[in-house]
Amino acid sequence: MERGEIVGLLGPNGAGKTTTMRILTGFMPATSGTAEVCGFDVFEAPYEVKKRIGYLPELPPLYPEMTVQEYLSYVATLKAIRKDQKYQAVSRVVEKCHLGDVQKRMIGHLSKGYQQRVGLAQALVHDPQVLVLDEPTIGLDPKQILEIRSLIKELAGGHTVILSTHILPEVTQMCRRIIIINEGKIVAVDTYAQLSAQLRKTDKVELQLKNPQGAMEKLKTIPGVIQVVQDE
Amino acid sequence: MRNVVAIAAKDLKTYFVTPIGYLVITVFVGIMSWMFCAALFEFLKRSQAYMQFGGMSEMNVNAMVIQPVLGNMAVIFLFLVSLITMRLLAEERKMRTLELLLTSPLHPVELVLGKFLSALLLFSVMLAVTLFYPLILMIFGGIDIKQVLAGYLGVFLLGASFLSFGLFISALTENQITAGALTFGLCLFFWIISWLSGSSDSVAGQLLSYISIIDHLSNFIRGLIDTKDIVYYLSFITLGLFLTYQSIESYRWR
Repeated sequence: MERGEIVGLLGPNGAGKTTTMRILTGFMPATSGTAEVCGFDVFEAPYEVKKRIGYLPELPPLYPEMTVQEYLSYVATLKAIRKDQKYQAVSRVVEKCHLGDVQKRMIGHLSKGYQQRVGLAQALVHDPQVLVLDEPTIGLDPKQILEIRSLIKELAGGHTVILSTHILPEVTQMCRRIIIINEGKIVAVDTYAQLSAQLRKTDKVELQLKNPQGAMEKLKTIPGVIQVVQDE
Repeated sequence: MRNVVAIAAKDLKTYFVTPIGYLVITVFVGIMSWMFCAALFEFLKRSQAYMQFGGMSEMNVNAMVIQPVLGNMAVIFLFLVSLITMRLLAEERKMRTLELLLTSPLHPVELVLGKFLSALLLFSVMLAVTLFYPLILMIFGGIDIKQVLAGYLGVFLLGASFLSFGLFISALTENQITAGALTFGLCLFFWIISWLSGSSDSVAGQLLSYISIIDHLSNFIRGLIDTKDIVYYLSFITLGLFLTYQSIESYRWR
């Protein structure tokens, strides 16, 4: 992956998206093979990887009894941010994720959309090089989905973003490159434009003709047509 | 180390944002005060009787007030330990915040120690409030403060053992009630485990009474600090924390 791009991990439920992300973030060990983040092996040097990666799981890991500010400051400590830079780090993500109005409120009292933003702020607080987002728009209403999407788009450039989803339009709108996985295997890796061009090769067109005599032969001569089948 | 302090501070604060901290302290101190008063009144009644009929020299505040109160304190704490530990790790699992902790640059040992420290600090606050009773006795009469402190050390070590064990149970499930019930049951079992040993001198009987968590407390309460008892409690605590660490590690491999 290149720096600063948004890559979408696309696949049906149970394809292994979450597992891939858990291995990358060092939460789970890989049963076979290795994974590297920023040049560090996740199994050999988990500490270095964890400092450079921000992770938003499918369910944002929030403490409902804490205020937004307390929570972000606690996470900042856990992410090994120095004490004198903590305040700055927290106010930076509060501004970035538009949480200024709610920063003194308890997380448990916030709406789902705000909670998701707090989750995103949590993943960003240590300014990680890599951001891993597991289904960041699941369970939100359409307006909140749009907000989160535009927020993630703003983040590209500064961070490399890996995003998992099973919603196709989400990837086409946000991601430069798409990785499609199924049953734990990578099926395709490409940009959306090229993937859809490949898919178009196998488009089917159904025609109803009043006078089908000789049409079969004529259709076959059209460039690009692979097969013509007649149906009675 | 910084992470240990941060986690301990956060969890200690959670005890007092939710009602659990106040509740546990109130129940503990309330019941202990009642018991202290009862023991003290009993003592006064008897000392009046002795004053009339002689035999005053046999009266001992330490033996008749402090020692039974400290013994009861251990029992009351047995009932409260599950309330303190049950949510510590079960809640982190349920809210998926364990995922946050385990993907942060910290060692799981730091997490275990931080959690244990927060519970231990709450317990210390509870104990510290009850120091009020011997203090009153010290002001209005003579007591052997060293003996009292030895007893407190014993109760502290016993409580810490319960807490480390409760923390381990809390790491096993994401359901707080399950963790609480199991903690209470198993702690009670460690308490009564020696009842079956009877008076027999068999190896099994001796082993059971060595394992029993309460048998090691009586020496402390009588003012006797024995290395054997200290080693017992410290190994119990270490075992509890080690098992907690192992179950967190195994959670990641699942």
